[in-house]
Amino acid sequence: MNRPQTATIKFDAQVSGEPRAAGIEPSLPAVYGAIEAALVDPALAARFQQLAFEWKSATAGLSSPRAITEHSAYPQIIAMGEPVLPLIFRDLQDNGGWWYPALRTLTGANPVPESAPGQPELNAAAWLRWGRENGYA
Amino acid sequence: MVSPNWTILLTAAFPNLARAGFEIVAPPSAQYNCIAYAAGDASRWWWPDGVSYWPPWAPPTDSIASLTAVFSGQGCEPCNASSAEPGYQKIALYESDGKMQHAALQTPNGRWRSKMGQGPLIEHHNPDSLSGGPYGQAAIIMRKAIGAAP
Repeated sequence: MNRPQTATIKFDAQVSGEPRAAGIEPSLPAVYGAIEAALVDPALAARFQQLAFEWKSATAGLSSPRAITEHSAYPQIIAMGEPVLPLIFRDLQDNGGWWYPALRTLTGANPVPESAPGQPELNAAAWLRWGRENGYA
Repeated sequence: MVSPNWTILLTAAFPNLARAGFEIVAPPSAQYNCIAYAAGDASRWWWPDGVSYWPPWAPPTDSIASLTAVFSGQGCEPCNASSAEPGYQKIALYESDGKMQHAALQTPNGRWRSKMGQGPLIEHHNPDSLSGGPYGQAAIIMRKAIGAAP
């Protein structure tokens, strides 16, 4: 999805429901992200919630990332395509979870620094930053 | 998303837990896993998948031998019994079909603690509390002298 990456606009409303410091101008992608998250198809959101709950419940005790992402619900979430990205970013932000392979598959990006092996907190932060910059989070 | 009910999930997945009981002692976290916790590191996810952390002294495979090497490298030695032994802390290693699945750590009070994947840290009665479920069996018990360097 082609979106402006650098332009900024004046924007006086709150973005993502969070208070904004005076004088801060959110980038266009951030504004798009806030709008997009609000416009997610309810049926898609319900389907996502069902699959995400099923996936997390079934893999809750597992340590192997491969086993976690091999559960049948995981590729079903990926198959929902680009429209599911705002929901994944929201869940990553609120609950964490092994969303990284899905995000790599759906976006083609990999913003995680190679110097952070085994540090999901840094992975999540890198992805959430990428999501904000690209209008998904 | 509605958060999973961990008590229901864990008792459903691990039948021995339902019988022996357990206690959640720390909240769910995707920051660290069972092996990391047993190795004394609650800041990273340890797994030999090329993305997670894996100690350089252990082979990067998911065999139970590789998991044993992780703790041997920390000064642990194999032992026979999981019962509490003065001067030692014990670790239980779980495997299924030769592949590592889980690690649990004995506490000073003789009970055991397990970080449950992306879920909570729990305290349970003994290593068998988690046998017979997705973790397979507690196949290897190791011990380390308390106070020894990691």
